[in-house]
Amino acid sequence: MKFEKRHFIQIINNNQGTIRSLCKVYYANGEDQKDAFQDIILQLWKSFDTFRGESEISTWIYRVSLNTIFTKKRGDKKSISIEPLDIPHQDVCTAKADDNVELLYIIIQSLKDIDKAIIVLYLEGYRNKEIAEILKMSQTNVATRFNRLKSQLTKKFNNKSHATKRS
Amino acid sequence: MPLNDLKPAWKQLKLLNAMQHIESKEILSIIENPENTNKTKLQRVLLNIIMFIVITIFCQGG
Repeated sequence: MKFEKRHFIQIINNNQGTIRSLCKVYYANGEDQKDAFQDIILQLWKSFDTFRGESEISTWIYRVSLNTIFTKKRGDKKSISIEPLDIPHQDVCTAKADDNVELLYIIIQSLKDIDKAIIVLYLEGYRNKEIAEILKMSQTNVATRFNRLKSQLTKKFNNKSHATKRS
Repeated sequence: MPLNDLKPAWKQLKLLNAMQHIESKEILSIIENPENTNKTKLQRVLLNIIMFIVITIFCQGG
């Protein structure tokens, strides 16, 4: 096996948690998640030659993955269906995770596609400028959306926390 | 709860999803034979269509 392929496989193995998490955030159905995962791997491979290491590998992975997901979503209108906010996913994420992970997962699922990306990138530790670059948006647009989302999410999160504590 | 408090939760979510191991062979098959992936997708779509038709036919009876 060529060095390039070995290197690529290693990168995918090291970052598959990120890729799978993105797929699960954007697709509720297991088969759709699998399709998205394969599409992302293929797009990453296609752009692997052009990746010159000017940005972090994780940044490149987020950029390509999110672009692939957005393109796939645009061409696949059936996948717009999202599970209702109150129904948690019955998979590894909820089976073993603590309350915060479950709440995060459910709350993110209720957002619009672009807002999901902004929140995920923020949680990953990126600043507005970097988020704007990854999503090819203006920094002002990201900042405005983010501030709106922040208050919206905090409110939702608090509501969910209270509901969980009560039950 | 501030949004920053959810950062560990995102990290944990990634860790949980990283536990699902992917074989090198699987990655190689995706990048070397992308047409196989498309073939599988097509098969699944066809199967869903057939199932839909069968269910529709059975539900109409009665």
